[in-house]
Amino acid sequence: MKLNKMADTQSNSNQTKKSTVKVIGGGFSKWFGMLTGRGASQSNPIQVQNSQLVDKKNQPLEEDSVAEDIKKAKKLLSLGMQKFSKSAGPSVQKGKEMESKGVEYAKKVVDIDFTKKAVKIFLVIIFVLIILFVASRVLDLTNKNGGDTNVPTPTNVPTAPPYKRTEPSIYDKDATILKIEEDAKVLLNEIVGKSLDDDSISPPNLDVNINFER
Amino acid sequence: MVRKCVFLFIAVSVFLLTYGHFVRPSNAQEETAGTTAPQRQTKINYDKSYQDYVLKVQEYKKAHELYVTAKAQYLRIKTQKSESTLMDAGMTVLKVRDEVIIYYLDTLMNRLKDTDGATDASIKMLQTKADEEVKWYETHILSLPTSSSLTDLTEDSTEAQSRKKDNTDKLIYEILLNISYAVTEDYSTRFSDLLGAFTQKFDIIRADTREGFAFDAKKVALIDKYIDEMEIIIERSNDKRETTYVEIAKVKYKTVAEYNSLLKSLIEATQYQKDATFELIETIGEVKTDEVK
Repeated sequence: MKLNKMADTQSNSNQTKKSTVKVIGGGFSKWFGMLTGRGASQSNPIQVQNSQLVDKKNQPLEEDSVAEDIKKAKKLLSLGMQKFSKSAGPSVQKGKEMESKGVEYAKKVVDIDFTKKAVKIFLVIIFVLIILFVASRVLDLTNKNGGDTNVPTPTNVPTAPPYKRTEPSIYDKDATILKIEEDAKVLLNEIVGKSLDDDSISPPNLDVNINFER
Repeated sequence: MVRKCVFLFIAVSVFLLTYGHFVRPSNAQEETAGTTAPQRQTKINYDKSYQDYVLKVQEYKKAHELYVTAKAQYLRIKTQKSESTLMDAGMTVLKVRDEVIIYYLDTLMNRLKDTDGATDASIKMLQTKADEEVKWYETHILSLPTSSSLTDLTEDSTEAQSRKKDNTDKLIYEILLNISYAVTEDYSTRFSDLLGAFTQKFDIIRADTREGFAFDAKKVALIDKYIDEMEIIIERSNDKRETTYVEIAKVKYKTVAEYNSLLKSLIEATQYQKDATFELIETIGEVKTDEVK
């Protein structure tokens, strides 16, 4: 029904356009000026007034048709807008909803990324702290060890005697010294090699419980 | 002239050769007569007595095997013949067992006499005790044939067992401890002699002020320090030995535990002697070298 009405209004408007073209005969520019409501009155107001006076029956029809056209057009536009708004409303709402969802999703994404980043940063900080802790412990230990080696105590740290370059003295071939040295070496060999507990002269293993009757 | 020179050369050569040949053996003979000959004799005595003792131990083992076999046969069949065989085997094993103890005491006494550090007093005292024991066992051996039954032989065995436990074993441990003490005494005497000779020589070196012969003050002080240390070490060793010797003389009836305890003390004293001797060798090395300046 609406479509039929629109078709009727369109056909009417076409008819009015044809009639105005025929009646006024001012070309397309005139028609456009009249359609806008400015060009006819400005360009030739007397002629318009005369035409209004001459053709009173046709004049209101022409003015009404344009105005009606405009009104209709406005109505159509408003209707179209309403219809468009009605028809596009849900989709717009959907779009808004989608937009809001998208925003929420984006926010969520942003939140997830943020938490991930925060966790990563947290882990990195812990890792760095662990490394620092281990490094400090290692440094402490090395410092302690270094302290021990830097301050050696004569009782705990054996030190090699300083190397002394020597040569035979005048007494190297002295007979008395050589004799004492030889006897001392013989004595040392005896002390080291001879055991005080000599097994060869240990008591014999004898059967002392000899009994002839049992 | 030439003939005179040749004659003189031959005469001098003959004199020198004959002098060297005849004089040196005479000195050696003196040394042998003074100190070596008695030691060599005791060594021969010890070797012979030890050999006899080892043979006697082998004889005892054989006699003991025969006795064990005869006893088993007698206990199994209990015949007159088996009893007679056991009597013979028993008498032999008791006789050889007594002889082993006699030979062992003789070996120990010869070993004590062979040890350089043994004093005459200790040898004499222990020899008296050993002779007493030997006499008892000889008497015991003579009494064995008078036994007419296995019961008598058992009593003879028990008598010997008691004697060994109460007297002989203790004497054996006493002789063994005296031998060990004599060894440490010998080490101590020899070390003291060496240290005395070294100190005497070092006094001469210290007094020598000639260039090339005199040691610097630092070296002299170092060697003096070493000598003091050696004296302290050997003093500790002597203290320990003297304490042990008092214990050896004090304890009349020695057991295996007492023997081991006293022997341990003597071994510790020997350790000190070893340290002191090692230090003496090191000190001699110090005298024989000079630091390059």
